[in-house]
Amino acid sequence: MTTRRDFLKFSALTGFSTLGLSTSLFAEKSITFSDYKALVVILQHGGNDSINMFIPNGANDKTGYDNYAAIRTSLKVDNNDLSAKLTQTAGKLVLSSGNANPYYNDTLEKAYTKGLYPHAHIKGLATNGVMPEFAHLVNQKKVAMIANVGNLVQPTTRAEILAKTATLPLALYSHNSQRKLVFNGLASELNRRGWAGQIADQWNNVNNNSIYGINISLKGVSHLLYGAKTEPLIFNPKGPSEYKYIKRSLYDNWLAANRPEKFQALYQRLRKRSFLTQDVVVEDWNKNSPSFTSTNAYGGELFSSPDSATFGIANNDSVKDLSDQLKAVAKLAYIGKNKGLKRQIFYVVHGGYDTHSNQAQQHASLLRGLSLSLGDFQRALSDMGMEDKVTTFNLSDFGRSIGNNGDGTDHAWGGHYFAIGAAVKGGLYGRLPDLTLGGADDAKSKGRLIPTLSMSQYLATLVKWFGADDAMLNQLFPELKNFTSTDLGFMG
Amino acid sequence: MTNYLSFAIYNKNNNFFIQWQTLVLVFLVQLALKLIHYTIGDVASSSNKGATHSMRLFTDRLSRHLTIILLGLLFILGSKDDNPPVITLLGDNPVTVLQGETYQDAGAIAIDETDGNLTVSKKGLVDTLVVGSYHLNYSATNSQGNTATVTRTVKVTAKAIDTTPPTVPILSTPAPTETFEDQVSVEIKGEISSLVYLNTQKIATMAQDGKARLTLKTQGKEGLKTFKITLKDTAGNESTPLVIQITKKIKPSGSAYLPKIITNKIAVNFLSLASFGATETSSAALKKKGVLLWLEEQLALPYQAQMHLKRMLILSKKVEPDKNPATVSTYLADNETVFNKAEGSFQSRALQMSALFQTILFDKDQLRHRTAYALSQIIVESLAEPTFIRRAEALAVYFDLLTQHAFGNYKDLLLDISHSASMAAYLTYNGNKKAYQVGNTTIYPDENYARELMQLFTIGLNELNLDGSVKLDAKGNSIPTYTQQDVNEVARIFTGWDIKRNKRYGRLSAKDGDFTHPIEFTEKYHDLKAKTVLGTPIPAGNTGTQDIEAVINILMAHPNIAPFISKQLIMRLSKSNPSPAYIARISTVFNDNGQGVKGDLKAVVKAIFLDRELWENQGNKKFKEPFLAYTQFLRAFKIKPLPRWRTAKTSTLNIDNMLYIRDPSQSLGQAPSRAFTVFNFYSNDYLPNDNVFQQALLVAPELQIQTDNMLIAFNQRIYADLSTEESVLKSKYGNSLNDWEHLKNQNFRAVFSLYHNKFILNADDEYRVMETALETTVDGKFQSFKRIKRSKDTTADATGTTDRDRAIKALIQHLDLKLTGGLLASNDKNILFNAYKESFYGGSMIQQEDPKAMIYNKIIRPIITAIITSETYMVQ
Repeated sequence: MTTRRDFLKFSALTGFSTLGLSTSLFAEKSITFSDYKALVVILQHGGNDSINMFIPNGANDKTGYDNYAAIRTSLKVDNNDLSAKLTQTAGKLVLSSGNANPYYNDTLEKAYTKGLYPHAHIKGLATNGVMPEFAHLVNQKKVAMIANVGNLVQPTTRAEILAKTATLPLALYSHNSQRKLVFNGLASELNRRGWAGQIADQWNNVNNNSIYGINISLKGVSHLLYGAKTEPLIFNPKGPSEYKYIKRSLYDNWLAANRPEKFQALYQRLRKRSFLTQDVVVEDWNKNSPSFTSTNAYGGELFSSPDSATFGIANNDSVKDLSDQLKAVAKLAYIGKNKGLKRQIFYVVHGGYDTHSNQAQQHASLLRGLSLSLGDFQRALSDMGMEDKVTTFNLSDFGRSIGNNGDGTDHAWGGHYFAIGAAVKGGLYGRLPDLTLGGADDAKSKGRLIPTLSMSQYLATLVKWFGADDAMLNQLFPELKNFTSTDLGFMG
Repeated sequence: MTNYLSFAIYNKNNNFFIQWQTLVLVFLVQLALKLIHYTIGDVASSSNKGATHSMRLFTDRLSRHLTIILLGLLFILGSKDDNPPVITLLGDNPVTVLQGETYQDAGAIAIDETDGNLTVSKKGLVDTLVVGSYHLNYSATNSQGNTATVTRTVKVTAKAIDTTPPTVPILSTPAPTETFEDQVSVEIKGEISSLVYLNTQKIATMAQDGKARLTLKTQGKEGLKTFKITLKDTAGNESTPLVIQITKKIKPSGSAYLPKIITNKIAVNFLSLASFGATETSSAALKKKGVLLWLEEQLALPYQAQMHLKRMLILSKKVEPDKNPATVSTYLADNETVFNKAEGSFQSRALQMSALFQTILFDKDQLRHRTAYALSQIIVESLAEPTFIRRAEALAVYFDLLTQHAFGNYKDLLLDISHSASMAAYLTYNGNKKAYQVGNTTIYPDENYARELMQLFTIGLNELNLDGSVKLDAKGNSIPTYTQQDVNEVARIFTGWDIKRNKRYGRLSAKDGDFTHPIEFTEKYHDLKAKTVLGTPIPAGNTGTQDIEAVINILMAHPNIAPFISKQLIMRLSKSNPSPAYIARISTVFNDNGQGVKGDLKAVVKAIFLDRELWENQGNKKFKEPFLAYTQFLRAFKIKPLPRWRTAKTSTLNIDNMLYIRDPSQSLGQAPSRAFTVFNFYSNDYLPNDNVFQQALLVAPELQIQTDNMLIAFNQRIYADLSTEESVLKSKYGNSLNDWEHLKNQNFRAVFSLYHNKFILNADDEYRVMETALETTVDGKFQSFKRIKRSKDTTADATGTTDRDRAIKALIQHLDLKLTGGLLASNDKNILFNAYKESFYGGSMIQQEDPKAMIYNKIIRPIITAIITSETYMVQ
């Protein structure tokens, strides 16, 4: 008979993913909220090269543009201000078609490096030219850029790393491990339930025991969302699937039958749940239809995918995939709020960021899709009057190396992140890193930035806005106590 | 103590004799008395003649009496003390000894009645070199000086030269001719006291009963072992040998645990692990041959070269003849690959998937393909690399490599994969250059493959024990196997490689490049300097392939690779939660296949399927992968290609009997070479959110992809695919499925749209089972079937069960046997029956309908769907 201690130790060794630690210490809170809030997590899967998403455009010789350009070489984005082409009508961004687009430059790769959008109130970072919608949101002060964030156990310096006295996050530079740490909310333990799963465990009556729960994934299973007692709703962006063709009475009887064998019993439970979910969700989905009055920046329907001619560059599946997910999120948030749900976390995945090679084409395509979808999403929220209720932010495995491997970048550590919404206090947070290879912020010599802010600080700021008190924050993100600031201040 | 008075001695015979001392004393006394006599006589004559005479008489008498008394006294007193000791010889007398041998004297003992034990002194010598008689005198003297002597005669005789060898030993009972054991015991009979020699080594002596029990060692490799047993006597004569030959056999692990009789349950379940699903033929074959022979035959089937690529070629030529004009033979003969002639096609991925399905669904070497599929979940490559969307032939080659080496050596697999265009593209070492300067910055080579080669394809992140458990250091922490430095070094190895025939070094584009031949080496971009990987130096000056071989040798030599790979293969082929002992057994085979070879996948796969853990516990072992559940379904219903189709309504080219199936991931959550990431479809340590599983720490990776949506989509998929049943199609569209024009006009989309799969299923067995219960003539036509109400059905028996009821029950029984081996709970079967029993009777069928089609759509199709999506079917 394994004791709990043995159980924990064993799973620590084998890396079991869905293990809870001290949920028993924190009894379910009978907490209630009177307002609605939602967090939308966008996982940039593979490790986003945030240095080319938010380009350093300052004058400083360490943190600024010249240093960046010298190191980035062929992958550097030109310091070419494209803001003049960000035209607006009634405060809304309007983009033209084809080669009139601000980023247009013949091919995707060239558009990637064509230029950037500096921001008056943000000193030192500018948005990549292929992200006009995003740049516009920044200019509306709806975006916080948080500089040099990454998994950190405690503040860490280069000297400590070189002297081998630093306590480093586990399994640095490994995709799945780093992602796990981001989902776990701490950098020193791979075996823990995701922080969103833990929130759902603790707040599981906040939404009146609705079948929606708190966590909804638009891209399959994720460790982030599984608690000890709760599971996310996995939702297909195209719409809920329905059992058809087989008599319902058959299933009802079949799924009520006693199954003593444990494998079959579990499978039966999963099937039962899928029916229950289907019943509720299908009805809600079919009954509700938020109508969006806005169009996208091209004048087309929100969440539609412009054709290549309009776009001015090659379109691809990646754009549509994220759009579909965020479109479904918008509708689900609408449904949720109308049903009287109070707290929701939506999980969306944008894949393909592991740009070891072909970065100029691949990353360009991804950033273009990211910007377009986010722009549309914010417009949809605005139409529904929910802009201040929904905060969207990104996560990623890690940032990428400042150093260039020829046509791409490699796994690194610190990177820049963002939060978007009307509740966000727009601006730049954190300290810009010294980009010098082998410099003060380099973990070694390839330009792997040592983060200045930890993931826990970044996440705690958001979850605090979401409604967690200090006790809960410290429990969700235990390494917070190693840092002076537990609220980075970008949420109003 | 010397008793001067005892002068008699008894000899051994109790005779006594008076010693001379006694006689002298008596003489002296006599003399003394005589002297007195005569002296007194002299004195008497003078005076008292009478007194003198009396005196003389007195002394006379006194001397006589004294003599007698003295003698008597002496006799009495001395008679006892006067006996010599008694000497007893030990041993034989006479005794014979052979010339040249050592004479061992047995000795003697002397016992004296007064003195007790006395020392015996021996006199005399025996010279055994000279033949003759020798005398040894043994004497002992007692305290009175009495001595006894005894003589022993020792005869030295000439040695007879023994030249007779012992007779050849014989076995008491016949020895076995073959064995699985490491030693065999035998009993031989032969000359007593002779020495037993085995293959020139003395190992025993024949006992007094003329038998000896011997242990013949048969440990070691398989083969004939010969034992020569001889007997030798003391003269050194040796018998002719008894030759025993025993064939050592290596028992396949667990063959003792294999079932003697293959039931339906065993057949269906085993074939769902060792193939892509049981068919009537494969089930019958397994039942006839038994597991061991079936496995051995499958393992012996040779690799059919490049079936994925060849089939894709054939299909590509049919589907897009302008882009792909060459035939298979042209392609194989010509290095200018046909896929390279045209810009990659958007049909590419569907054609690759179709070729894959054709291979795994129909080829006889099922176990090989099943193993290749398992390997594809360890060494992952997938269409997630965007270039492959239009160059999916790269993935066809990838599958061919996995298939080729599935029963070969893991090292060779790694070598070939490392040289493949698909891996160079997927894990981005295509175009890697050794570190170079641009201004003040050093550009380092891409680390992607370097890392994943170690983390995912060979040794994993942490050191493992042979049984798959994680090793811990003294503080209880796991021990990483490699460092970032190692990743850097391995990245340096994978430099100088890129895809052939692309427009420039390192270019990755769907528009140009040869994705079917190995990558090519450009030395100037290769890091030629020495490297160190995991502490092992790799010398400078290696060519690209030499460097790759060096790192793969290092990784193959690492102790982690056996448990890391073995455990994953067990989880894909056998059970999700193998015991540490199971893992250790398979790891041992990975480390050494019995012939000293490491990495022998054939031996590993065989060991996995023969291990007792797979056979001893007949309970459920894992959740079925949805993809395998799907292939089992297709094979169970005799999938065939659609007889004729074209690529568009306007096309004039018939494509006959070629399978076309597009990526089914949306409905199944997975498909080969369609994993979202290099970490495969699911995580091997996925612990489902279930009390029982979590308490027992049972993992269930296959559940990770079976979300609410997937379960519903799977259900819909099965039901939809069943609409392709042959009789139903013929009934709907007229009897010929070859009449393309007609089918097109009827809007049967599958015959003209590349968005539709093109296969047909067959439910003839199911029709037959039902018709048998309903009709006297079983011809597939259900001739006498009419729509009626149940109340009008006159076939009801005493319990109210009608022929139609019996037909449904028979169908359920048949499907249960076919799909689960007969494992459905009777409650489940009742539920099925009750749900569909009224479907046979009148009511909602208004239009005139082909009874066969009605029966299929109303009853057969939903029941099949219900069983395929059931708990019983989806666990194995």
